[in-house]
Amino acid sequence: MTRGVFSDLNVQRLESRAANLALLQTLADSGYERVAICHHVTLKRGVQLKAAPDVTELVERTPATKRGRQLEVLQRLTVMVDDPALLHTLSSPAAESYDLLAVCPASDRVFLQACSVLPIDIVTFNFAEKLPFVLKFSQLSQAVERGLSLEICYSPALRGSSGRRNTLSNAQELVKGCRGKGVLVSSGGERALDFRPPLDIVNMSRLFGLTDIQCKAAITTVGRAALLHSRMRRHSAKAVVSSHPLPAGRRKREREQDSETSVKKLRKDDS
Amino acid sequence: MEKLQQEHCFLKISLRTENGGEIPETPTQLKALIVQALQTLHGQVGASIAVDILSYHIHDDVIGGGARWGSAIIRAPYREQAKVWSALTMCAGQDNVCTVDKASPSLMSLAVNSRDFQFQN
Repeated sequence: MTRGVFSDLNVQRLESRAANLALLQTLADSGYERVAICHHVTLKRGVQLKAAPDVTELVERTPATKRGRQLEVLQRLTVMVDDPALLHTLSSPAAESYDLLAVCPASDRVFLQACSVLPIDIVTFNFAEKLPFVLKFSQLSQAVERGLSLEICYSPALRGSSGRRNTLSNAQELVKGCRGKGVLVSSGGERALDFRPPLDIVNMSRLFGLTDIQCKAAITTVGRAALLHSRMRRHSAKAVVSSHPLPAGRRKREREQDSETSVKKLRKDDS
Repeated sequence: MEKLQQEHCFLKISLRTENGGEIPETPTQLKALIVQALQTLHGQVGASIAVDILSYHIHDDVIGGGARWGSAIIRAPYREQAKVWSALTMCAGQDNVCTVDKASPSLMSLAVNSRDFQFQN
């Protein structure tokens, strides 16, 4: 059985290429093998989304991981929005150019749309403060059934007591609401102090209420599922296929007729 | 046949600091830091967990030009492993980063960590 790929799908973009490279090197040395650099945008009227830049504009090279492979660097767009009228911009070609698309809802109406209809991959939250809406099981389960991932950012919990209390409280509410399914744990940090190695995160996720298997999946398989969901959303051709199942009695009669026909053929061949 | 009970859990930890912070200089200071972290996250119940310092070394990373960092092997009751580990991860201090390199119920397995091997293609 191969070991899973540890991923951190929320690393804030820094100003300089050297700073980005130093951050990615820290993550690669810690044991991560897949990283998504996050471009954060607050959506307002008149704000245009920009297409994803080339990876070479962010870092001059990708560092090597502990297993000798190159660190996989993805690009992610996180959109913070509170007005549902602005959500149509998520279908633009600029938004489609990113490897992952996430929404951080700032109101109840946006949260409802994010869980039900929006073409996104990840629903993320600002757990450092009290959420302006309630995390309901019906909406969270609808998001999980659609293949979305529900993200917990742990870096606010490392910065101080108030951030720690709010993050733990909100994360436990999220896990209780979705029964631990589809939960993605990532850092959301921008300094070396904001990151922890993968196994430390697996253990820390137990404080959120996840089971042992869900803790490991939160930084391995759920991230991979989000990436596959994004590729299917952007690159697959959508089609509708209709099928008409035969009635049960008719199927049985057809099978009996087929078996009689095959027996007659065998007898004819033998004779 | 009697089932083996794991009594202790041994953790190999690394302590690094950023922004000019200071790491503990003695094992006594390290023990105080661990107890403080347990009390911050798990309260009085966490502070009562019996954690022992088996070894503590300070490394002077002169070649890389980096700051001094410390490595230690600590022992905790096996049932409290998750509490001790999470307290070290989250509450080691404002400018300190404490990472657990390896955790095992056997002390001998801390000698080598296969995740640190460098593979050449």
